[in-house]
Amino acid sequence: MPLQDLIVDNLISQTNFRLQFRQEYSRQGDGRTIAKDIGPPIWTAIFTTIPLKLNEVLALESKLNSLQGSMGEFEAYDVRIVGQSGSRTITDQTPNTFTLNSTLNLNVGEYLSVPYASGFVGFHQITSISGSVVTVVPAIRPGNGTVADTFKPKVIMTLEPDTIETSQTSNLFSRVSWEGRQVI
Amino acid sequence: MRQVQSSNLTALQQNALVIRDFIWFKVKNISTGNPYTEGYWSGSGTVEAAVIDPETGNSQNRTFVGAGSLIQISEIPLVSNLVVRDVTLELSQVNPNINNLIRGFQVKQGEVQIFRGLFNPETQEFVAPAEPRFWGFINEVTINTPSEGDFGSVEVNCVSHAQETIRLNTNKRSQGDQQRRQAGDAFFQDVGAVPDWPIFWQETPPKPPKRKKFLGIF
Repeated sequence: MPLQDLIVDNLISQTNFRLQFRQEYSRQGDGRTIAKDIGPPIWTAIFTTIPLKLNEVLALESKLNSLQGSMGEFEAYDVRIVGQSGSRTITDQTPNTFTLNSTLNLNVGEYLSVPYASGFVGFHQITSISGSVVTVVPAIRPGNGTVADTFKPKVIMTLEPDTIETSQTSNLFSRVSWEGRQVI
Repeated sequence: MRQVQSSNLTALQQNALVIRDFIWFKVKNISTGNPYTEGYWSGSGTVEAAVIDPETGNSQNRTFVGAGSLIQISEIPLVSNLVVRDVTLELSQVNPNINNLIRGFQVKQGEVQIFRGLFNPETQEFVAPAEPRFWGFINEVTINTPSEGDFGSVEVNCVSHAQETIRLNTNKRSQGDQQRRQAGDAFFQDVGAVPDWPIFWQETPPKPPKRKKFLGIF
């Protein structure tokens, strides 16, 4: 069971959500660069807290330590966007689009979290909306996800090894930062 | 000349390529001896993908398991001569599917087919059935169990069918072997003794080698 209360709105000041693409670039003599995509991209994120009191820092560190390095999983979301409350039903999907029962209030740049029966959680960012069809990145894996969460959509991550850092900002406050990588 | 499907050729001429590799194993069930097939691909999730069967040249739908079972495929030499093509696959040693295949079945001399599929970068859909790039046999399997802080893998070394051209004959040049081949054939009867016969072509036989003298003592 992934740790659910690690990422909390008023605790995290910054999340750098980034899609890590796995590509190879070949430059040709005429200056043309051809990119070759050789694997599915995965989400990575850097979380940084606001300056916390030292007892809060210890409490957070204990949560991070309870993940036992990269063994444990935690639920993460991008604190820059809250999303729309509730969830939408997926009625159809192609490799990179979802057809939803409603796209009301959804915006480009928001995330969708799609739990699969296998336990995998798909995490996608909306790149365009056309009627009830939303185009997303990264591409959708084949499967039977039927619900797209739109409120604080969660992605399941594990800790990047050796990335927990605590820096003291003053005598009484410290910031904690760590990096996460999506579980594929 | 290698034939490339026209839709694949168009995709290859674009500025961007989205490629995924597919591996198909055909190994032997240890208890029943029946063939067992399993496929992996370099994407995520389990897909049913169309590939071109190298045996028939026709498109065929096969199921490939993803989610990190395949780490890397070495460069595949695409040649049209008799060179034995050598490909090393790197698979994940912690993946349950790989463990089941490598440890649960007889993989020695198992069949390996490698395909490459091209995708449309816009729609992320298959352009055409995946093209076969390699068809060979498992030569050697090494399971690297990592120590702390290291990465592990299962290395599967595969060679193409051209390996048969360099396979050594097990037959010996002997009377016994010839009898097994054709009973009563006496062609190799004296083959053991003949190499020691001195053959000379001049009028007088060559002098035997001089005996060493033990100087100084006797």
